[in-house]
Amino acid sequence: MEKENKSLDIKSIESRVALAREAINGPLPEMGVTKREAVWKKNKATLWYYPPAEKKYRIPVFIVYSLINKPVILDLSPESSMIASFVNEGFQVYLLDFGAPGFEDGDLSISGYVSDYIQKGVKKALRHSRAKEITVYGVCLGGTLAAMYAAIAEEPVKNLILSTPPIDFSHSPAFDEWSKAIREGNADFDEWLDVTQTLPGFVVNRGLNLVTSPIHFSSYLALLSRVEDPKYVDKWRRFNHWTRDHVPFTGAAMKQMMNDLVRKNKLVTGEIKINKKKASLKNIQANLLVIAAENDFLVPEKMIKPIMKLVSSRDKTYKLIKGGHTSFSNASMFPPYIAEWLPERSEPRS
Amino acid sequence: MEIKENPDNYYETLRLMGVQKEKELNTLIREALNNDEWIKEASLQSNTTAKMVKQMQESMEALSALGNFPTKRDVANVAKMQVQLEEKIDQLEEKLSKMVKICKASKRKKSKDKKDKKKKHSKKESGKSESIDKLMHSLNEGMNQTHGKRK
Repeated sequence: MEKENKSLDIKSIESRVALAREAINGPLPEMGVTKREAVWKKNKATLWYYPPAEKKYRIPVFIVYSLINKPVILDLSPESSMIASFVNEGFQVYLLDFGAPGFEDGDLSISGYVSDYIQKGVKKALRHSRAKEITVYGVCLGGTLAAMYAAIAEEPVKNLILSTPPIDFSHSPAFDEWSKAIREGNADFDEWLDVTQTLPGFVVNRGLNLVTSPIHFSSYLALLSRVEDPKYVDKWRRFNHWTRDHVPFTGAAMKQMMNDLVRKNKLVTGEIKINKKKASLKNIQANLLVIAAENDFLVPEKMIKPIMKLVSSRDKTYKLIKGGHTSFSNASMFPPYIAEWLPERSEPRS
Repeated sequence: MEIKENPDNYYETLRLMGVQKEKELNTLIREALNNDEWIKEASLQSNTTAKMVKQMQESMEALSALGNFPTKRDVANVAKMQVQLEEKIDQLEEKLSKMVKICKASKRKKSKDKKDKKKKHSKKESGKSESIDKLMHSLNEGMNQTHGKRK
């Protein structure tokens, strides 16, 4: 019996490398394919509405994504789209896309994002959906913003879902000496941020890479090893594009992050102010679901879990799930931990 | 019988080795950069550069006044005014939607009042017809009695 197998020769290596190069440099497939319509625009931000084919719940979901990357990760392709999974379940979904800030937005702080964009966006979504209550779903740094918003919300936020949100900045994922220096006032970049107004996208990209993985080539080896699997290649290309496509970060938001969050940990101490209002996490009474990832190097569990003791919510759930920082964002199906928590709290239409 | 090894295994082994090496290298780099001296130097350099850039920006502002050309700050100011406009439109929209709500509520109240009035009126009418019925009934009875006596 002869086993039919390909041998490892120069030709096969060359053909694999050629395929991998094609995957890296070829035109990108279309991303963000779920049907949507813009319901509100302000500055560079857009509030997108994703209508379900059949509305099964009275309470819509309002998604707040991070300020660092583009939210297209939530709708990468029809096969891996978190948004599509919510829509297919019968939820009305709203996504607040902050867009890419420019030089003119340099004075837009974290507090500004919360009061001028998230709060107003929630109002618009409530009016548009004619719903009496809403679910706010914050992802990554969007989770921090969502928690801050829920702490000052006058709108009826029934459920709050926070996926890998950095809350307690007394723990740093890496570069503890840098965090220590910022905390002790030995490192100060305010003057530089005032001059540049915004950190360009590529700087944000390099900075994040420095924290997670300064040298990165393993994903290319993964591509090489599975380059003959078209499904894998398609997903790889979309994901690879997203990881490199960072948005600029406003100077004021970076300053507030360094001074209020990293240096003084004001979100935990309850001293952070938004529009002269104290955004104490104690004010949060909404049903709360917090999700952390076991292998998240960017936002480890230590930075997330303390929120459970800081809120006043009676109904609160904490889930530690297998996976990395972005595992939940490009899920191919309605995540089971959401499926068992959200529907019963979203007033199903009988 | 010829058995050739599957090249996929080579690539998978290569990937695993790559992951391991990448991890080691990244730990080395992070440890090297996580240094107090580096941080102080970066902070100092950023402040020095910021001062230089600020001076340059001020000079450009002065030049723009003389040369009569707009700077990035001018463009930013126009953009900020546009955001202010958007905010004003939002406020107007909010006020309008509140007014529409109030109008709808008062319209609903008016139509409810109208219905109530109609109901009251019809009640009154039915009361009248009831008393007429009673009157007719007693008249009939009276007539019957007088006719009976005559017989």
